Amino acid sequence: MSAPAPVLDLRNLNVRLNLPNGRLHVVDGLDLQVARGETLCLVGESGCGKSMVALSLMRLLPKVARWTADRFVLEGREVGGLSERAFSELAGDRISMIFQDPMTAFNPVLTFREQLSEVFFRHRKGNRRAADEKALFLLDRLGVPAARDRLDQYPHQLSGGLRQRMMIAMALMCDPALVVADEPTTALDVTIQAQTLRLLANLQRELDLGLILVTHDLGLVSRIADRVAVMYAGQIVEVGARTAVFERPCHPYTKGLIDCVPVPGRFRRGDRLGTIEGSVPTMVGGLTGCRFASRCPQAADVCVAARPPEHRDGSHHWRCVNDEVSSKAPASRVLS
Amino acid sequence: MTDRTVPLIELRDVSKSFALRSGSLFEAPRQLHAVSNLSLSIERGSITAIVGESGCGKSTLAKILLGLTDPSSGSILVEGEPIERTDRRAYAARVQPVFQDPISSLNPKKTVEQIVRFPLDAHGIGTGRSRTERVREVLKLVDLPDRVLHAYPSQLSGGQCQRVAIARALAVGPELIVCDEPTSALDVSVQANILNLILDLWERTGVAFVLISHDMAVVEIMAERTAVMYLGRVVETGPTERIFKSPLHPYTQGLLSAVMTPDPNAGLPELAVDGLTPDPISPPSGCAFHPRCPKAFAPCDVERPILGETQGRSVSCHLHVRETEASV
Repeated sequence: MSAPAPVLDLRNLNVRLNLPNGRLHVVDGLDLQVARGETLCLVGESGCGKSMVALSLMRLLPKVARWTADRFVLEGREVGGLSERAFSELAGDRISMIFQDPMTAFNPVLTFREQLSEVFFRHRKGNRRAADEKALFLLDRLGVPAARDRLDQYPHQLSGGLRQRMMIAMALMCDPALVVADEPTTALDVTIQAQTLRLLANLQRELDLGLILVTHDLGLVSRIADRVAVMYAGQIVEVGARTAVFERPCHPYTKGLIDCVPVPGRFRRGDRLGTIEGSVPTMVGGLTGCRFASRCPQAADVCVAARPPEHRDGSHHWRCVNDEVSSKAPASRVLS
Repeated sequence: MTDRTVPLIELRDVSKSFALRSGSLFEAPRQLHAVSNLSLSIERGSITAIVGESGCGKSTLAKILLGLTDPSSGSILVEGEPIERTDRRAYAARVQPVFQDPISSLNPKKTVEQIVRFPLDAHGIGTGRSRTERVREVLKLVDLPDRVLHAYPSQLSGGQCQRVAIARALAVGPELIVCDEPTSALDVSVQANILNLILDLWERTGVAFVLISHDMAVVEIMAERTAVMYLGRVVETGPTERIFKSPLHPYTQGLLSAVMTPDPNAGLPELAVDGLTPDPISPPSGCAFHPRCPKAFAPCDVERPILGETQGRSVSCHLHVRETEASV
């Protein structure tokens, strides 16, 4: 009765960007494990390196980036050492990506049929009918009305919500084991956002996908994640099951983030929201100590001196000098 | 003498439509009705929120308020005077904008000092020295240190850029600042800072704000009055508290149900609103919301509901307005 082998096992991922004004260490010693059927949310603010993690998983990092990992195991197979060409056999097949902006991710001069079947033919043997069937099956699950006609349309002809569903379908054309979604619903309207997430979550359950959802939206995370990893300045500062992280956040950054979110019914007009003072440190050069120390309300001298130790409470891990499991929920949580 | 009872700006039955190029040379151009028969009054020193999703006309409304576009029909009253009779330049100084994307709304080749000073120069307010002083003063108001004076926008963070944009809007001492999605391009922690700043400025300077947003949670803490828009029309408007306590229009209920607050036990929200946003060029018949409305009934797809008073706010929905019309 051991836990199922993870679909992704990533250890000690480091990404460095060689820029004219210095070397940025944008991802620093990051570990990630995702099981089949599991939704892992990678949360953080802009510049925390979460998109860099997503791009390294797809090996789509910009040219100035260099990455290393002790372990990059996909479905039991070490793929970190594969050449770009060999890895491209897996990309779109075993691991695929849903991008944030469905307008720029699609080729504007090709129909959806051409773009969806291109992924299929790249990795599968089969004729047009097989590709169409697969596409129509997915679009039906995603609630796309008049799917057959939509396939002959171009990206500009669909609304943002439908375009994003096309993108989800494209990512699933070859039944991947792992899907990386980078802010998949940020560009959508609020009512469409909830709808799209529900469709994605249903398909994920049906197809038993491992899903890594990269987002800055804590509300969304609290509704959809199985596990949550909170990133700050290139490092994971806290990771654990959804309820553990939201009900007993142990890292001050996680607590601060949760308190920033306005909650209907909790505030009266004119109330001030919680804030996190200061800004993210630049990641040029080596930083010793806790990277959050300069903004942390509880920072002490030890925080600046050395990297804080990792504490564990079951599967709930966090890096902070504070080793106590907080018993108090953050202020913004409505306790009823 | 300003009369306190007259609203600062009043829109009466304002519509704005755009002609679209049609497919054929001989077809009549189609009309996109961005804003239809909208009435709204903005009181001095108030915070008014306009909520809606993309394509609902909220940005067109912002442009009308800013005087950047003229309505196709209807009238705008500035302190009771038709806008045609007021001086356009003076109006521009009284109503200032803050846009969504702080990076692209600041000129990258100008320093912060030049950016914030520009409206003062353009409106010819004060002398050279007093303008320099005013720039420092408003930067202090938005909590920016003096050292950013000579920085360029690219050297600042998104939140700092938005502060510069707010400082620029404040510089000429406007009576109204129209913020079009001022925080939707920002991180949550930065968003909280900017919203707190807007509340501080509102208390300290008494300037009125119009806040355009798609986020109901943001609106609740900020606005005294809220207007919810759908496809160019106001569907519900009234005191924010009342609308949040008991939203009447099914669309308002849908927007509220779609807010995802951090709650690990809630799961994805049950959708009170289904379906996709219709094409604004050919809006549905009757009530434009009826194809997505869970409560649609007989008259909804034929008759367009009118905005009527009920329970301390105005609603345009057959479910509610019928009753009031009968009872009046």
